[in-house]
Amino acid sequence: MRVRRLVLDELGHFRGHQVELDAPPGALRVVVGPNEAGKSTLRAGIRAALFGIEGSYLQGTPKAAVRLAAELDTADGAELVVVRHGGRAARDGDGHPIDPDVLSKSLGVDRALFDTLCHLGHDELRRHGAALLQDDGDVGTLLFGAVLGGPAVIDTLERLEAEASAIYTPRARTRRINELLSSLTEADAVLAEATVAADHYAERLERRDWVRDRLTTLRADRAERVALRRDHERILAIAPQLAHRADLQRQVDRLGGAGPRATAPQVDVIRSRTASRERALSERVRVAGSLERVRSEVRSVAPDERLLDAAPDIDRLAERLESFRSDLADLDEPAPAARSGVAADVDPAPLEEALVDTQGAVTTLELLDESDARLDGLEGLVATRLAALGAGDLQPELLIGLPVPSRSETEAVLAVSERDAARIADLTDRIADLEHQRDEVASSLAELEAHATVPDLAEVAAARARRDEAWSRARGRLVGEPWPDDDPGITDRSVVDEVDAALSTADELADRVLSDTERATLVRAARESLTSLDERLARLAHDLTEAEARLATASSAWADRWEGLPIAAPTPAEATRWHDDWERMIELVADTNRTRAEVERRRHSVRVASDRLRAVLAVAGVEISPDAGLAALRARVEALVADLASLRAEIERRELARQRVELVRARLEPMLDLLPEGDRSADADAVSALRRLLALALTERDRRDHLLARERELAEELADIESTIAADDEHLARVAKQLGVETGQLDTVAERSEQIERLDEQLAQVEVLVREAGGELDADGGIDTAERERWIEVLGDEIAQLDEEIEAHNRELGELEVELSRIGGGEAAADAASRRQEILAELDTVVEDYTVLRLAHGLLERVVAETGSGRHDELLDRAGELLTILTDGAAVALDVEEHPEGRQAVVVRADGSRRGPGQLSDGTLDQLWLALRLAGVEYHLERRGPVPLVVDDALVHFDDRRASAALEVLGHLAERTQVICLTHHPHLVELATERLGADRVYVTRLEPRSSAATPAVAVIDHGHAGASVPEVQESDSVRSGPTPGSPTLFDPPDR
Amino acid sequence: MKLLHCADLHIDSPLLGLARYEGAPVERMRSATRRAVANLVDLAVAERVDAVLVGGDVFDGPWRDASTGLWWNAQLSRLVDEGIRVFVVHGNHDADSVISRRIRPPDGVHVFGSDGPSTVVLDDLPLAVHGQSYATAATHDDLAAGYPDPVRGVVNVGLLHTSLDGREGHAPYAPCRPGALASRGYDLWALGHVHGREHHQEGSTHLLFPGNTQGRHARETGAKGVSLIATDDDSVRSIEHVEVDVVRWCRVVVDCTDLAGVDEIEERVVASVTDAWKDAARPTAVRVELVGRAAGGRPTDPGALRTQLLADLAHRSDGDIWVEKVRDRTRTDGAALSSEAIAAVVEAVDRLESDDDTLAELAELLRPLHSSTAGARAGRLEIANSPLASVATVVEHLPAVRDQLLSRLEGRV
Repeated sequence: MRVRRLVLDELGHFRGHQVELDAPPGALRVVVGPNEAGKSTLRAGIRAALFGIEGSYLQGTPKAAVRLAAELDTADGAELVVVRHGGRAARDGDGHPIDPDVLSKSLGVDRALFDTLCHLGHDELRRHGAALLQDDGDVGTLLFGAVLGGPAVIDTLERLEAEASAIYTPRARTRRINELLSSLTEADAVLAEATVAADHYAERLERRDWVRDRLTTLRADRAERVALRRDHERILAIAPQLAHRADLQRQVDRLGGAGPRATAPQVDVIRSRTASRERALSERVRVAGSLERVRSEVRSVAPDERLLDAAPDIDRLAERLESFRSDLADLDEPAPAARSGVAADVDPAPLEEALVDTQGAVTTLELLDESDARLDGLEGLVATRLAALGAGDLQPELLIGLPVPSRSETEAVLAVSERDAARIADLTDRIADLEHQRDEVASSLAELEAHATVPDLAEVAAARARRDEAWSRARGRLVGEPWPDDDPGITDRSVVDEVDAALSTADELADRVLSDTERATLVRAARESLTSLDERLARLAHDLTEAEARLATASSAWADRWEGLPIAAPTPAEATRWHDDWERMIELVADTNRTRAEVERRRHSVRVASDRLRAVLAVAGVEISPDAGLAALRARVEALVADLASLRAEIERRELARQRVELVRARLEPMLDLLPEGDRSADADAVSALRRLLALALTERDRRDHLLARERELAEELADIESTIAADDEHLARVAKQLGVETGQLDTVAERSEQIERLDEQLAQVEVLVREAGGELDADGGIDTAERERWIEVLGDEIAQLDEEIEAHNRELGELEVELSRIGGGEAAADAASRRQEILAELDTVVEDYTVLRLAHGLLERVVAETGSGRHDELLDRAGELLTILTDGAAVALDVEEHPEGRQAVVVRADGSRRGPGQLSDGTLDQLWLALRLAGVEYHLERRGPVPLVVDDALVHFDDRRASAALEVLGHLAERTQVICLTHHPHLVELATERLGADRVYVTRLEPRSSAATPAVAVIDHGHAGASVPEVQESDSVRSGPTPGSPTLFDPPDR
Repeated sequence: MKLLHCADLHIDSPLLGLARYEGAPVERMRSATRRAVANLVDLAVAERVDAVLVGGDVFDGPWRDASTGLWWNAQLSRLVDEGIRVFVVHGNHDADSVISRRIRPPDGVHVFGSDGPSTVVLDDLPLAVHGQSYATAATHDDLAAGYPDPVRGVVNVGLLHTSLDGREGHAPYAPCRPGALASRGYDLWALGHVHGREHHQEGSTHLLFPGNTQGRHARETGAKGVSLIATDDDSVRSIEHVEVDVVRWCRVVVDCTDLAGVDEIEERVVASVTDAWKDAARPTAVRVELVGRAAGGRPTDPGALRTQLLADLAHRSDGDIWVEKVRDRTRTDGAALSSEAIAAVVEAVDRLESDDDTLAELAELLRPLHSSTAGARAGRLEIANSPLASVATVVEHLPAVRDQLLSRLEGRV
């Protein structure tokens, strides 16, 4: 594969550049340019064109913006253009995608091999030269690393070892696998602790159930023993009862034979009746004493029966006397007189009649005020209207009968005036309109007359004839008639053209004639119109003059009509409104006169009423002011009537009171005998004395009644007591008879009977206890106390043991319940297992990584060792030959020395000395590595076909002699494959030309540009070194041969 | 009537293959099997199902923590308290489980015995459930053959833990033919043991594996859940699968053909994984496989890519995505184009497979690791199915070793 040309449309400093990279077989392509001229960009461009763009940027250009292409001779001899645009797939020169497999085969080299085999830089020479020293010329390392294209095999081995050791080293603590194993152990422990084995849980569960069952059994045993002990204790408790029973029996026996024994009811009767009788006897003594005392008191009480009989009359008189007490006081006062000073015997009847008769005058008086007010209002209105009419000085009465024009007369004058005024206005408007029309017509006429021409009707007629003729010919042609003259030149087209021309001419002339005719017509019409307008204007002016004269005459007549009247003449229009005011005012004057007469009449009636009142007051002897009005007179009369009525009523009331007092005194008179002599005084005192005596008599009577009632109660109580005593005696006698004893012995019998009864009850209780323990008693009916007490002790011990056992089991049960509840359904163990799995997962990954790294290291060691085992010694021979050339014969061969640690390469010098890498100078080391690398390239070329070799400033540290030798080797290599030398040293071109000849050195110069207006770099293709230097083109690039880099190259048609 | 069928709960079985790393959502990944079961119970309650059918493998065989059994009992109690009937058969894992043997379920849960098949006919539901538990894990008999005849007039359900006629990755327990099951005349065979969901219909008989309720490792991918079955009086009306898993395992395959460089590969992987996560709508563990022909040589070091993806995807998903592993299965024919050194390595690897002496020498390199990890490897490490320091281990790893060497010699690492 060869790269013939590189198109850099957009990359780094390059814009639309093409760079020739090819050279004929055996010739070198040298690209020379100073630093920053773009050599690195060129190399990166070659690589990107072949294998695609890696990363986000390429040589500072964003990946998406990169556009470049390479024109290739493929490995199988075909031509191929590879276009790269950003990250898109590779396309060919026609814009079609290139199959990756096809491209790969076409290149014959992959990216990795291109990097390691096809590129030779000076840094690489230096670095690998130093590496030769490091491994001291181990043949395997040399061959594998330098010759076979495996770079830095020593680095690779070291890195594999370091990475593997970083993951795992036996007995280390900080390696990842070691750490994970440690974590795993810890996780196992955590899991074991968190796991509650189901077996253990079940065993605990079973144990809990067993403990529960056991507790049930133990509690039952304990309850049984407690019951047994309680039986023994109960039986032991009976022993005292047996002794007590014997003692009771003895007491019963002692009491039993001493006489009659009363039954319980009999004892009750004896006890109750004896007590009852004793209580009755004591009560009888007390009641009899009380009765005697009451009877004595009754005898000492004697109220005054007369007073008691007169009691109702005394109370009634007292009440009446009380109610008349104020009357009595009034009677003591002197008799009242009339407040008005008139005598009480004045007859009020005439006064009251006068009041009734003058009531109408009061109403009249109120109306009189209203009439006065109305009269004032009317007179004001009349004055206002007179002033408005301009006759303020006139007496209203004089207005009536003035000869002012009537309303109909005024309206007639107004109608005539308005009609004439309207006529004048209308005529004025019409005259103005007509004058305006006349001006317009006159203006139009002047304009028409200025442009008026006379139409040439003959010309119009001729045009019409030609038109008709042409049309006729055309119509004949259309219906197939022969032409009058068989002119072969006449065609359908010419006929049509002729008709068109004739029509056009005729129409044009017709239009023009028509236009002139119309204009003449208009002039005539305008002149006629002007004349007519002048006539109409004259008529209207005449009418206007007439109307104005009529209007002036009417105005004069109207003014004359008002002459001599005391009122200013209004215009006829004003007079229409004036008439309304005039008539209203006449009505007002009449109304005022009526109101004034009414007022006078009412005043008269008031005066009559006043005189009447004044007369009756004089009769009553009341003085009154001569100025007093009707109201004051009536008020005085009304007061006099009321005063007289009040005086008469008071006189009547005092008379009635006097009569009632006299009546009471007459009633009191007979009762004064009941009073002591000294108390028979005034009426009121006598009554009070009677009432005091009566109260004493009543109190005395009440006390006597109370004592009599008490006497009756005590007598009844005494009788009851006697009856009780008799009944008790009877019952006691009956019981004594039943018992056969005297009544006096009954208490003794009852006492003994009660004692025996109590003893019997105690015996019965003891018998119950004994009977209950009957089966437990010993055969003799007694109790073996010692034996029973021994059993109780034994049972107590057993119960204590059971209590201890129960407590222990209770404790265990509690612990089990706590333990079981703690187990619950938690996920601690599951979490621990998850954590453990996470460690295992990572361990799995890391162990896998370590295994691969460790095996890779071991395998690579073996491959390298095998490479150096003699299989590739011919490569060493070839490298030795190249080294001889490169050193200009200073070194003659590479040889191999067998050492215990392996096979070592040594340089055999011309003088026969042998030197290992460690004994070589830096320059010789560079040459040795270059020889080995070139031998490797040749080896590849033999096996895989040609690939380009890019020598990137590799010879920069070589002196001229060595560089010249190296260029010769590269020249030989160029016979077999493409060799591109990138250098910043122009001197290298001279050396190459000198060593190889000008026709074997093809030069491309890269020149950086500083101008902002031009691309940043210029590419100048010199062709072979012997050619003349070409001019720099406008495009700043030199193209040779067909141009693959067209705009469409990066813009394929299918996008 | 509504039934819920589930199987292979494997409660407290940890998720495998999820290595911890900084920022890993470990807490969300833990207890996944429990939370899936809790979801199942919530679903049964919410849907008011009449009965829950458990097709075996409630527990993980060797797991012996009693807490697991007690927690399961608590879940069963929730169902019973809601009036939901529960029917359980033991599978091979339950037969091995000390939990299922020692911890009794609450009242109201019917666990079929292992002595022989039996039938439960309900008074208040038109349902007859036939079932038999495993007595031992390795049950190779055709248990279904002995199942009772169907009960007339009700829905007949056969509850069975079986590999049917064989399923890859599942032990061939209680084998039987689908046709034979259909011939029993049941309406539904509620099956367990196979962790992927399957639904077959033979005539009117439905054969249903609901799959396990929670995927536990990279081979158990896709949605996991239970089946809701609606029935008429004597037949199955509809079957609906409902997801209950809380963590989803996904295998994302990315074709690297035509992708130029690591950036584009990573971009493609991130997009594909993000899509898978969005489809799952829950925390997702992903195994990425790179396939196709990588342009310009092999794409990248899978470990480095995984590290990069973890950081990127964790950021995008707020920690919901977990890249379990990145496998590079891209092919490259670069050896034909590359250097003689690489050719030498390739040749050496090729020759090595028949070079027992060298293989043995390489195996010895692993001897120290073999000794150190003996305890951890006891059946627990994926790598440790065969002894580490063995020729087989070396042979197994030769492709990875070759890739490793080529990556380095080609300057990609």
